[in-house]
Amino acid sequence: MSEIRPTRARATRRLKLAGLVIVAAIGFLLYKGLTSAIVFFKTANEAIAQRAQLGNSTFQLEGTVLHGTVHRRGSNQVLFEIRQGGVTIDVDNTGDPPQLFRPGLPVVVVGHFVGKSDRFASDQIMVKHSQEYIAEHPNRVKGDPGSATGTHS
Amino acid sequence: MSPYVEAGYLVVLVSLSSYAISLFARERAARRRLRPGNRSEDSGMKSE
Amino acid sequence: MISGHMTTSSRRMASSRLLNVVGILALVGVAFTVWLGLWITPNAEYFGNLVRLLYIHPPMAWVAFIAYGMAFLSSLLYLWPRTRDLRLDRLAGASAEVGVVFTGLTLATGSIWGRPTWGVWWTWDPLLTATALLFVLYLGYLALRRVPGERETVARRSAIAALVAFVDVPIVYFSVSWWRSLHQPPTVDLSGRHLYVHGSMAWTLLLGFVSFTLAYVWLTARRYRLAALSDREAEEGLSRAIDERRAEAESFV
Repeated sequence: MSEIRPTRARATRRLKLAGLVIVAAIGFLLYKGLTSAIVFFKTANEAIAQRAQLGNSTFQLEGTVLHGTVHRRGSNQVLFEIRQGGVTIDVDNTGDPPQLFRPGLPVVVVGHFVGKSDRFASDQIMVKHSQEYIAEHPNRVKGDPGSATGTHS
Repeated sequence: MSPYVEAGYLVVLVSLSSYAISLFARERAARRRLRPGNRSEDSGMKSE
Repeated sequence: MISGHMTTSSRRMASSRLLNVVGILALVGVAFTVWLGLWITPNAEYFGNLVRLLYIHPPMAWVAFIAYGMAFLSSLLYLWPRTRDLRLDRLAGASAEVGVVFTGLTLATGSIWGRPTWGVWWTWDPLLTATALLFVLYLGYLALRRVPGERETVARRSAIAALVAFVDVPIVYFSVSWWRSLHQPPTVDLSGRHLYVHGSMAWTLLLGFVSFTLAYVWLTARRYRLAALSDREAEEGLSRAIDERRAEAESFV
């Protein structure tokens, strides 16, 4: 019995530490859930409606990438327009868009309005895709998935 | 193939097999610990 | 437990054999899923090769759900006085542990899939946040199970914790429809019974669900046996300690 004691004390200490970490993690995730997750993004029309309050603060903006608006500038910039709720916003993104990025798909961009304008500067594009997965058709012309200006629609 | 795809499959297969192996090992260790002090029953129990 | 040893051991042997069959089926099923998923199924439009993660990521989440469902159900039955039985407590603990493994894999495969498709490893989307919470909640449940105490006390408080933690499961499932999410709705729509994939892709996904569910059954059964052994060990350790104490007391007389 006596040689079990110290290991049990250590086990108790480890358990208390684990409990503390877990409680802290639960608290952190609840906080994140109630602040970031519950309103994950603002749609384009909401962002314009709240333009004054938003100022130059950073937030996530959602809209569908419009066809024919995607242009690359330099090696690292993509310009495009997104539309949601009847409102269109110009987006100026720095950084490589993800592989799935293409016109017609909704995206969530992370960034802020520039100055007093309604232009949006983002440094992160997240692509929303649907739950549908369709087998590639060998006879159809396929847009290059790596290019931001894929011709396929 | 995309390295992401390979990584995804690898993570699943490696994790699940490690977990399964750890369960085997722990079960065998528990049976071993039980054997010497084993006073009743248990003779019909086969370890795999 | 009350029944005779002969029947117990023969029943145990029969269930061992059944369990081996489940294990082999799971192994074969997973092997087939991997083969079909990596080599036989076609690339998908826009996704290319990346669609292949479809065959493992949703099954991970599905298994986590049924694992927590099982833990919830057996905890509920344990708390119900007429069905109070430590076997139910062991089943709850075993199932939740396997659930944590699969939740971890849901998060890992989701992250690996999210990077090339969405563009991020992680984001504080409601579904993702609720899933991370699920993982930590059940880690807490497993930690709580280790807090020492009388066997029945441990079982009762664990059962209550399992009921509380389960609240997050429907939140995860419905988060996509309740809040704005980056994550797409489930590919297998359980309410509308609609499948958003077709042909060999659908079959492979289905096989993935079945195979990993079998793997869940096998892992949970093995974990349950381990729990039963640990319980017996603790019991024997206790009775041995009492015997020793008694022997000690007698030697003083």
